[in-house]
This record gives sequence, C-alpha cells and structure tokens, in this order.
Amino acid sequence: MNDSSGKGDVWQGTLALMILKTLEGLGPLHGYGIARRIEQTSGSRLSVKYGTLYPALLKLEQEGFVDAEWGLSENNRKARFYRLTRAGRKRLVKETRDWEHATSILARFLAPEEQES
Amino acid sequence: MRRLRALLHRLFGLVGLGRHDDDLANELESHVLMHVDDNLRAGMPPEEARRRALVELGVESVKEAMRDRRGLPSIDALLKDARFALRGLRKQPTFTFASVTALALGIGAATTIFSVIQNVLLDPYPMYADVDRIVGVQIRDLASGRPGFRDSFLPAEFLEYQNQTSSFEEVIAGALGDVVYSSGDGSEPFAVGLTSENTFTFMGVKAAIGRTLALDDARPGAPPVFVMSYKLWATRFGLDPSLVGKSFVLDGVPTTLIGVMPARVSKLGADLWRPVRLDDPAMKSRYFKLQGRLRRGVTIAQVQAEMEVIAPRVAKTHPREYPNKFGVQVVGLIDSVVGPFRKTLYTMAAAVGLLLLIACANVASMLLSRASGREKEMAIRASLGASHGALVRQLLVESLLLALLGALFGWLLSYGSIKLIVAAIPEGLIPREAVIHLNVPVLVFSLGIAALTAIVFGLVPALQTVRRDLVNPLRDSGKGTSGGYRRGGLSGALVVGEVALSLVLLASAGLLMRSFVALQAVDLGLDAENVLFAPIPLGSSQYQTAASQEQFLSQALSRVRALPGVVSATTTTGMPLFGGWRNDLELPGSSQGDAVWQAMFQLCSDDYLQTLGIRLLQGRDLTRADLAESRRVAVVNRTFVLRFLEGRDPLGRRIKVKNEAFRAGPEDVGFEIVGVMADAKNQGIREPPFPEVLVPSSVTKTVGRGLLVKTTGALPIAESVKREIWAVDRGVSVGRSRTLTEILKHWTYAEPRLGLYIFGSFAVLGLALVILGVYSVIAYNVSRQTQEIGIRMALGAERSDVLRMTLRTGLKLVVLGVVIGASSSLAATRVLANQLWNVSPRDPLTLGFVVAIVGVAGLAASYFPARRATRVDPMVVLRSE
Repeated sequence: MNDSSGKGDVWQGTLALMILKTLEGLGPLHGYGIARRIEQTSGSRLSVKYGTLYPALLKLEQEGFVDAEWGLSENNRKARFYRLTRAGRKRLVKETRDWEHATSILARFLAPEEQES
Repeated sequence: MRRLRALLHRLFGLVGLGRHDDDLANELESHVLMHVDDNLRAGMPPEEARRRALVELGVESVKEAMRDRRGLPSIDALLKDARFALRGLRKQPTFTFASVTALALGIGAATTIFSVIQNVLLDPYPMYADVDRIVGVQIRDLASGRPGFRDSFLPAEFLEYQNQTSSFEEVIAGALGDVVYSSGDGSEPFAVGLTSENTFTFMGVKAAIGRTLALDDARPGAPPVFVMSYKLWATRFGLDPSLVGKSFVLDGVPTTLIGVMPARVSKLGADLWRPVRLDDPAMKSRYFKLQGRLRRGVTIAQVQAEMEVIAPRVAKTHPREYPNKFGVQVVGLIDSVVGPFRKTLYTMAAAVGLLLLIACANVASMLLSRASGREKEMAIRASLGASHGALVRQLLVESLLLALLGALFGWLLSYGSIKLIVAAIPEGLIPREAVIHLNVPVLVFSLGIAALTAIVFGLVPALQTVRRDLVNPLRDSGKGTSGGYRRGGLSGALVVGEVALSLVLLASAGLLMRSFVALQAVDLGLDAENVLFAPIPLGSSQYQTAASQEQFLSQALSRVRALPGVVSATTTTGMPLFGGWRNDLELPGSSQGDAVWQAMFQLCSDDYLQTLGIRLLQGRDLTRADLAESRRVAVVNRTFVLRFLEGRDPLGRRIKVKNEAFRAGPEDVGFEIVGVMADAKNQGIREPPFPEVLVPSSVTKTVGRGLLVKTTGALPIAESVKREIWAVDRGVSVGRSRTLTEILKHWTYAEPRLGLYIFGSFAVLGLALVILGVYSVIAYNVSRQTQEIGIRMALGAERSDVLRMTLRTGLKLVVLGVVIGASSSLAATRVLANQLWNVSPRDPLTLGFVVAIVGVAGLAASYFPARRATRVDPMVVLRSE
C-alpha cells in the first residue's frame, strides 16, 4: 500500500470491511457506486477491480450480511442495489473493533523502527 | 453457522435456485454502463469512455467478460498466448531453429515461385490498360503440327482482317525492323518498332518525358519523329533529358525524338518506335503483328469463331501467304508471350507445393515429439481449469508464431533466390515488360501460405495432444512405458508421407537432369566451339544488287580472315543450328507426286564447311571461283539425298528452286549438286535435320547476311570483327555478336536448365528435410523406449539386437514411404512429359537411382539415433525408475 508509483490493490480481507462501512455510511448502493466510493475515500490510492468486488459482494450476500435487489440508479440505469442487513451491522461493529485492535498492535511494532530510519 | 449458510447458497446455485449467471452478467453490464456514463460526463469521446471503463475494470476480468459474451478469444488472450508460446520456443532453441528453418525453406520457396507466377502470368503488364481484352491472331500450319506459324500479316491482309471483324474496339499494328543510327562515332543498329500511331494510346501509356506518338505523326508529309525506349535512353544515352526534341539520323533521315517511354514499356522489344501507315507503299512487303482490344462483353471464343470465317476469305485473296491446311487461333496477350512456359511454371508451383508439404509434415512430426514432453504440462493446465479449446488455441498460436517466423526468414530467402531465378530465366520466355520482384500481392500470398501451413502442421498435433486423456499422464511415473502409441503411428505416417513426397521431387529432378544431359550430349553434327556469329543486315540502298553485296562480303571476309587468331571465316544467311531460308523445290527427273518438297537454303561463302567443322561426304565444297562467277552449284546434306533422291547418286543432279529470287532467267536449269555434306542440326537441336542446300552467296541478294568466324581459342574477337567491317563500310550495322555456344546455351539449354535447377534445389531441400524428419522421429522413439531397451539389455539382448530393432522401425517407415513415393511418382512425372527430351517419364534407371538415394538417406538418418540406443546403460535406466 505504500508504493508511490500508482494505485494499489485492496488488501485481502479488508475489502469486505470497506464494503460494509460504505453501505453503512451511504445506505443502499450498487456495485459501481461502492467501487467508486471506496476509491474516493482512499483518495484514489486504491482501485477496486470488479473481479474482486463482485465475488466479495456475493460472499457477503451468501453469508447474509447484505441483501440485494434490482432498482434504478440516479441516471435511470437498471442496477442491483446492496443494503446492509442487521447481521451485517453487527458484523461491521465486530470487524471494525478487530481491525483497530490489530492495527494498534502493529503500529507499536512499527513505530520505533520508523523513527530510526 | 455463516459457513453453513454460504454453503447452502452455493448448493442452491448449483441446482439453479441461486443467482443465475445472466443475472450476474446483467449486473456487470450495468456496472460498465454507469462507468461509461461517468466517463462521458468527464468529457471523454464515447469510444474512449467505453474502452477506459473496460480497462479500469481490470484486463483479466474484461477478457473473461468478452469471452463469455462473444465466444471468441480476445486480442489480449491471443497476445498472452503468443507471449507464452514465445517463452516456450526460446526455451527449446533446437526445436525452434529446426522448425523455423524447415518452414522458412518451404515458405521461401513458395514465395519465390509465386512471385514469378504473379509477375509473369497474373500481372506482367501493370502499366498497360485492359490487358485482359487485348488479343492477337495467329495463323497455324496444321500440316507441320507445330504451333505458331505466324502472327503477322502483310498490310493488305491486315486491312482485310481489320475491316471484316466487328469484335475489336481498336486495332494496332506493329512490325520489328532494323534501323541504323549514324553519329560521329559510327553506325549502330537499333531495333525499331514500326507501329501504328495509336499503339501507345491503345496500351494506355504516356511518355515518361516528352510526348508519345500522335495521330498526325503518321500523316503523309508529316515531319519524321520517333520515341525511344527507356532502356536505350538509359544504356546508350545516359538518361540525358535534353535529347528530347533533338534530331537523330536514322537510316540517313534526320528524325526528331519526341519522347521517352516509361521504363517497363518495351512493345515489340524495340529500342525505339516510329509511326507508320499501313497504306504506305514502303511498308507493302512487311509483316505486321495484329493486336486488337475486344469490345466489352465479347469473348475470345466469339472472336475465334469470327476469325475462322474471315481467315479463309483472306487466304483466298492472298493464296501465297497461307499453307494448304491452316488454322487460325485467337490468343490473349499474356498467353501469346508466355505460351508453353506457363506449363513449366505450373509444374514448378506443384513442386514447391510438395516441398511445402514436406516442410509441414516435418514440423508436424517435430511438434508431435515435443508434445509428448508436454503431456504433463497440458494435464496440469487442464486440471487447473484450462478448457480444451483454450489449450488447442494455445498450441495453434504457437504454430502460427512458428509459421510467421518461418515466413519472415522465408522472405529473406526468396529476396535472394528471386535474383538467382531472374538471372536463370531465359529471354523471350516471359514478357519483356515483366519485372519479377516481391510485391504486395506476393507478400500477402505468402502470409496466407504461412497461416495455412500453421493450421496444417499445427492442428493435428494440437488436437492429438489435447484429445488424449489428460489425467493419465499425471499418474505415470516416467515416460518410458506410457505410450502415445497412436501418436507414434501418426508421426510415423508423417515420415512415410515425407519420404514419398521427396521421392516424387527427386524423381522429377532426376528425369529433368537425364533429359538435360541427353540434350547436351546431342551430336550437333558441327563444331560449335569458338565460332562467332555476327549478323550484318545489308538493307541500305547501296546493296540492292547481288553483285554489290558480294563485293562487300568478300572484302569484309578477307580482312576478317587476316585477323590474328582467326582460323577461318565465311558468310551465311541463316544461323547455324537454328535454320535458314526455306524454299519449295523440284528435282527434274524425280517424281514427287503431290508432296511439297522443301529445303533450307543457305547463301554462303567458301570455307563454310571448314568453319563449322562439317564433314564433306562426297564431291567438293563451294570454291571462291563459284562465288566470283555466281556459279549455280550446290552442296546438299545427307538428309536431302536420303529424302529426295532415295540413295541415287546425287552429284550432277539439278535443284529447281520455286522462288523468283533464285531464278537465273527464263531458261533456268537450277543448281547443280556438286557435293554432299554430313548432317548437322538445323532446326534446333531437338529436331532431326531438315534437308539443307548450300549455294554461293553471290547468286542472289538478301538483307539477312551474317559472318561466321572460327578462332583458335575463346578470343574476344567480336570488337575486332566489327572494326574490320566498318573499315570496309562505316554505314553497315553490326548486330549483337555471340558465339554459337552462347546462342546454344541461351536458346536451347537455358529453359531446361532452369527447370532442372528449380526441381533440383527443391529435391535437395526436400531430401534434407526428410533426413531431419526421419532422424527426429527415430530419435524420439529411442528416447521413449529407453526403459524398454534397458530392460531388454538387462535380460541379455546384445547391442546388435537393439541396433537392429531400432533400425527396423526406421526402415519400415522409409520402405513404406519409398513404395508409396515410387508408385505416385510414376503417375506424377507424367506432368513433366512436355519438358523432357529423349527420356521417358517412367524411366526405370532414374527411379531406381532415386529410390536408392532416399533409401540410403533414410537408413543413415535412422542409424545415428539407433546407435545411441545401443549405448543405453541398463543399470542407469533401471535405477532411474
């Protein structure tokens, strides 16, 4: 993620969290919107390929964290809208906590080294 | 719990209750559309917007999506295959080198031959308009059985044809003549095309500089003008543009050069062209070639039918110009020039096809051997999810890459070989205008050939590789025992095919060689070594009598005879070996019935027999006294005696020539036979000698004189001969002088030699490919059987047993191939019959020799891998298991 040359890919395992977070913030949204939102939020440092996005969505749907139904987009395009389920909200809270926990540990490992260099 | 739920979803999906694929496809579609919308809003042009949307989604996924939607591989996938194939080829340089070489040879040879065919047969006249509709008219003497009696007509005849036919839009007339150009340096003869003034507008060509002939230029009283060929302008006048508008002295008449024609225009093969009118009395006795452009919609068959009605009518008004039995034939422009050479070219095309097939079979069998090493790779890739289609595509892309590389090197080869072939094609066989080179149609053709070969040699191995059970190879522990038995059969069949094809090529080449040797071994009946032939046309006004011509000839002869190195010299009216002046004759006292007796007449000086090394059989030679007194005496050849005198004593008998020119007066008694000479070839070396009569050069006048000069060795005498002639008269032109051996080489040997070279080199290449093919298949077999051999040897087999066993495999293939090849070459060589001379297309000696060559080559090719098999160490093999 720290490469300066261009966009990075989404880390394995973090995409689900980003999707859930996006849906929580913006409400029901189609896949394209989710991808765009993630890219925006990352300040265009991430690019979401649909080869990774749709399998992740499908997995979330199969696990019951999101629901989906066909609707019309803002430009009157037919699109499949994803919505956070109750289980999804719970999942988001748990994942966020786990993530913060993990990163704070990692941060402690990395901090002194960064000062040295 | 969650896992269970997901699993259930998947199971439902499996039985069709979950999300459908097309649902997913719809979703992806809408994703792309929204992205495109965004891009459009950002101001991109629609195509770019869509492209970027697809690209940003990720190349991999786009590729998948496209493949799903269209069922066709995308460019990306092909590029990936190509990169992959390139990596594979780099890893196996030997294989790559061998197969690219084989393909380069095949494709290069095919490209070369096709460029000849394209530039000679298909499109030799790119600069002329409507070539397809230009035809000529030929009169054929049906009695002689030989084609091409004449295609030119006296002006009176010409006009009758022109006026009676309605099939032509426009007609042109052309005759080739000599013209003497005089300048400060001396006199030079040029070939002049006497053409109707519409010739160049008819052909649709404009002058390169200046202007071309126009209607008014031929008007009576118009100032004399001419146009020059680019070739003459370049070779003789150094491309000097200021010459246009200048005056040249042609046949003593100042004539203005009005233009230079473009480089490839060489109508009639002339150096320059002058406009003439057919109703000009000076043209009365010249023969003009008739060419017409068909009206649109008129076919050659229709003109043919029309001419068959007109020709007998014209023949009635000009009975002397037509043989008793004649036919008329309308021939297209290209056919009229290329004629029988077309067949030669087609047989060459067939030969190159065989070579290409051999190359394909070769590469195919190498691919098959290589495939066996890749069984596991294929199996792994299949089990990782590659579909059969994808694997076949991958293999085909690899073949295509090989073919393209082959084509690339093939072009380099043919770039060089075209130069060789152009140098070897004799003059006059192909249109003078034709330029043989690599051009766009040729390159497109060879790319097509490359693609085709890729499919031919690549598809079968690819299908074979993939059709097999993809799992079994993974189970096998080693390569020793598992058999691609069927594949072994297939590569064996390929070798058999290769051997058979190469045998056909070799047999053809062998026959052509035998025929060529036979041609060169022909007893000419004369000694052509170191004899120079110099044409000296005596057409100008001061040589209008036999006496004035004789005076000039005797002076020139005595000067030439005095030159150092000259053994003897004489004059003639026909080119030795190739003909003379044919006349009808009568022998008083012999009854000839209805038959027309004809002989070839040579007006010659003394020493004719000595100069050409022809033996005198009986009587005496012509003497200087005969010449000086214009005695009416003759020396005849043996054929003359045999045919007309049936063995009776010829000496003292008289020949009456049915030609005004030879008649001495009202009480002409004919020519007394004073000698008999041995037969020498006189109508080309393939034909038996024609009855021939030598008479003193002084008995009549003729334009077509020539000098024959025998020298002690190969001396560059031509220039000195020319100087001596000009020392007698500067106004006499000297044509292109060549030795008889040069003329022979050019006219007689060049075409068969071309065929021999081409077939010979194809046959050699074919044989080399076959050796390579046999070698690689046997070597592959040996490597596959290593384990078996090891076991056999461990069980007590001798090295010689192993050698025999391996050799037997190779021999079986070669023998089968030889048998098939020998029987098919018996059928195939019949195509060559018209190019063979004195050799039967089924010549057993040639076939036997060729079979021996192929057999030995095949044996040798299997011997080396077989010997390697005997070096197998049983311990090593068994342990490696």
